[in-house]
Amino acid sequence: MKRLATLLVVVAVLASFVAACAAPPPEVIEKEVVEKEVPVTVEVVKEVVVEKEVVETKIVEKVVTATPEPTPERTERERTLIMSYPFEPSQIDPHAYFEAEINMPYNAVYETFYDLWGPDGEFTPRLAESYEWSEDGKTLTFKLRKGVKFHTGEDFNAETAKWNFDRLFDLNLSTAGNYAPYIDSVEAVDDYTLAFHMKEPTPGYHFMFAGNWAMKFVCPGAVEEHKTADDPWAHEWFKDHMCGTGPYKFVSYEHGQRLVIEKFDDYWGGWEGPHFDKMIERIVPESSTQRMLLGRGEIDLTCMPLELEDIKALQQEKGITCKSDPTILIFVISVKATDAGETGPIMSQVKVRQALAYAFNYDAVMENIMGIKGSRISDMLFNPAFEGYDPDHFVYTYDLEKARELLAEAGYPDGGFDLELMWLEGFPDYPRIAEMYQADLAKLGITLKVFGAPPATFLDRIAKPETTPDLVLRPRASGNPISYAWIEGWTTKMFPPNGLNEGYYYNERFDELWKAATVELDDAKRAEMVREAAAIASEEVPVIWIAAVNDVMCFTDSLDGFVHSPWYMYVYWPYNLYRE
Amino acid sequence: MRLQYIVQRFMWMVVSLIGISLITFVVSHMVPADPIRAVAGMEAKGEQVEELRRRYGLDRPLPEQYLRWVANLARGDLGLSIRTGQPVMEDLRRYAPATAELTLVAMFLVAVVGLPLGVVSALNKDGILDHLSRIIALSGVSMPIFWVSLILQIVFFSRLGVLPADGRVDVMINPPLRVTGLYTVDSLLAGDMVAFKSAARHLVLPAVNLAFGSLAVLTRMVRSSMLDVLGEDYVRTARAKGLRERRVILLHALRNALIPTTTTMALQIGALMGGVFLVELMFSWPGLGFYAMRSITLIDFPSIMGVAILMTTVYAIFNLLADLLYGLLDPRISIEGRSE
Repeated sequence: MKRLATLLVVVAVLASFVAACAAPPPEVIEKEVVEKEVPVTVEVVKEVVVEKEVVETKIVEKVVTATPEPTPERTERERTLIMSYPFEPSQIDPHAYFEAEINMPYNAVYETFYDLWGPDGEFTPRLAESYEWSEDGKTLTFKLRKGVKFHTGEDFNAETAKWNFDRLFDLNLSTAGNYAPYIDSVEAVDDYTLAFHMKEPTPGYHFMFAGNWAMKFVCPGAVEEHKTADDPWAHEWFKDHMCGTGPYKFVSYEHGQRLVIEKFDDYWGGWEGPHFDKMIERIVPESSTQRMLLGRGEIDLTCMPLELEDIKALQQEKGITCKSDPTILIFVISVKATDAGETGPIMSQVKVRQALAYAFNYDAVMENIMGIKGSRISDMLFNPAFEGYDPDHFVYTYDLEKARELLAEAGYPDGGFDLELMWLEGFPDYPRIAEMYQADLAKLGITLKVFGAPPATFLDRIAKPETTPDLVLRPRASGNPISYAWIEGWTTKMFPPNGLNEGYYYNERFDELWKAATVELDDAKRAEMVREAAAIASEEVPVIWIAAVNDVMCFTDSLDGFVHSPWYMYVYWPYNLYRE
Repeated sequence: MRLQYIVQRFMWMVVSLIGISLITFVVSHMVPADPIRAVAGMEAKGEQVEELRRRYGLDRPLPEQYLRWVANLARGDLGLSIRTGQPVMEDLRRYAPATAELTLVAMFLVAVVGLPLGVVSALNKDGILDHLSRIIALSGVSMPIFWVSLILQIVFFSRLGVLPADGRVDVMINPPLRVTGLYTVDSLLAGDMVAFKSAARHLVLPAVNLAFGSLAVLTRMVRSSMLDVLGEDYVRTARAKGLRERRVILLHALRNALIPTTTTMALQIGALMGGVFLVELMFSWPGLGFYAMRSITLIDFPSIMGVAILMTTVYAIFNLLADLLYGLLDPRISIEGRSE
């Protein structure tokens, strides 16, 4: 009897698993939603017929074939955008660190004073309506938009905006680094006027309030509700929750799995026109798995570039498109320019660094490795939006003979020295780029040791000029078109650990030009200073400029409303996306 | 005496844990890396980095850091994860149930498939079934986990569309309210059959993938043990007494063959816990492997040590259970004798 009972239990367990593993019934949840939304059907059909006649006709035809019922309401799945990212963010408090792994939800839940659109960086109002600089360039005043509400229901105004800056400065984490060193104080002039009193004249600083890394505004009400004695700014709560002013509000976050947001009914922009009701970010580490999920319609959009092989395969699939858009992210090789360390005497010679720039096969990398994922860049002011951009600037090309001549002039006619190149892990193209460069340098008699390093190792190696590698292959990005802020990256101020001038490049004139540009209020003079600095860098090669990285996002053809700006990474503007 | 033996084993387990923690600590700190700098963000300024370093106690001398860590461990505190900023214990609570669920189902599969397959192979030595099980075993030990993952995903998800390829539950379904953290159990407790079905379906491919290698080892082990036992005098005697063949196989032969098999199963826990890292990555399974992989990339010492300690503890407990099981399987094996 006991044996029989055991047998029955085992059979029952197995049977439940077998039953569970059978092919799934058609979306049970969707059925529930359809039932719930029936009363709204007529209204929606009316709307659709007027506004999107052609698109909806297709759907009606499909349904009529299956059932004689009138046009059905869209299912929950159809009203939901499912996107994939390969990594889980470490935390999601926008006042802590920037996490690219969550950029779509960030830009759906949070908003900034301004947006940057187009390759020229068009400065477009969002939470602010206008801005004004004082005569002395030391006070920047924003007029804020009225009628904006936080997801907690309270008003967005000068007081709550100022409170957000208090939180940012008090937490003093990475994001604060863009503001704290420059802003002396923040003043709520009236309900909808916010003034920033700068420590020094800071021309162009208004761009710091737009773009990828710009200040985002969190709900004071949520902080009030979740703060503790040890955590007065509710940073712990915001590590895995979101609350802002954007079109979508936070629903849930299951670590390692998914983040769900849904439309915020009181959004100031309104809900006219087609939009998604809900968005889900899925975390799918493997590129091949993302490709399969997209192929089967389980996700609508892959937000970070897949492996080139997977992109190529998806481009062959019916009903899927892979779109390539330029971004602010670039790939560069930082070149050691200090005489410290074993290779210092070699690398500190300008002619050696120039030879290294001529030995890089730019076109082959574009053709064979980057494909649609990148495009060639030229020099420090590679972006036409940068103040001081010069279309006739000097561009290094692949020329081994020229490289050999320069090495001979530097006293190394047959090379005969060893260098090391470290790439920052996380970008699958880097090992291939490094190996290609290794082969070219071998032709010049230079032995290149290549290796990858995770961020923690990378930062440890560059911490001292004696240990910094000769060449560092890694991404860089400028979040806005402020040229002097961009070239600051190669000044002595940015020697590690205060910045990422890991080549320890130093040129007195370059530093002077940068410093002067930061306080120069005359646009033309400032542009000329930056242009001169870029020319110095072109001559002295602290960097080998490889490629601008494109956002390659693959998606189902039913999606539309793509708005992409090169000033944001891995983002199609969530509010504008919809399903046809 | 049995209690004394268990206490003694626990003491050894504590010594092992201290050893493992020391090795993990030394190795993770020997790596030339600065996790705080990485976590602070590439653009963080020097003083912000130093403030974070102080916050995590990483500005203290290494021996002091280790001793503090051990003292905190005694209070059940594994420190703060550098990457997530959360207590490591909280992170482990969040991610461990997914791994536990996957590993338990894989173990279940290994046991319910491996045992009968091994027995049948032994009884049909060099027959078709034996060859078939040999092929399965050889495939299981020779095919890399990531490759099997891809094949399973391509066949059952991409081509046939019968099983999901990633995650713990359908993305459009809300996960069940957390009680144990095991989705299949929690959904049953909540009476949510939609979630249960989804969770069970999502378990199939990763569990099969994880079980495959251990299944091969166990099948061959059972086969070999059974063949040894089937040639023993007491089996011949049992048959000579006229006992039914099924009784001879199950009660006399299999029971004795289970002793080495139990050891193999206990050791395979280690293999499963190792394999789970890759399987979780391939199937986007948000468990300890998934968590640890990200932590390793950022050299997040506290998280790495937390995962190592947890996995070592589980492994040691399963080995202890295996030792205790010997006594049940064969009364001639006494704990007292083993402990002497």
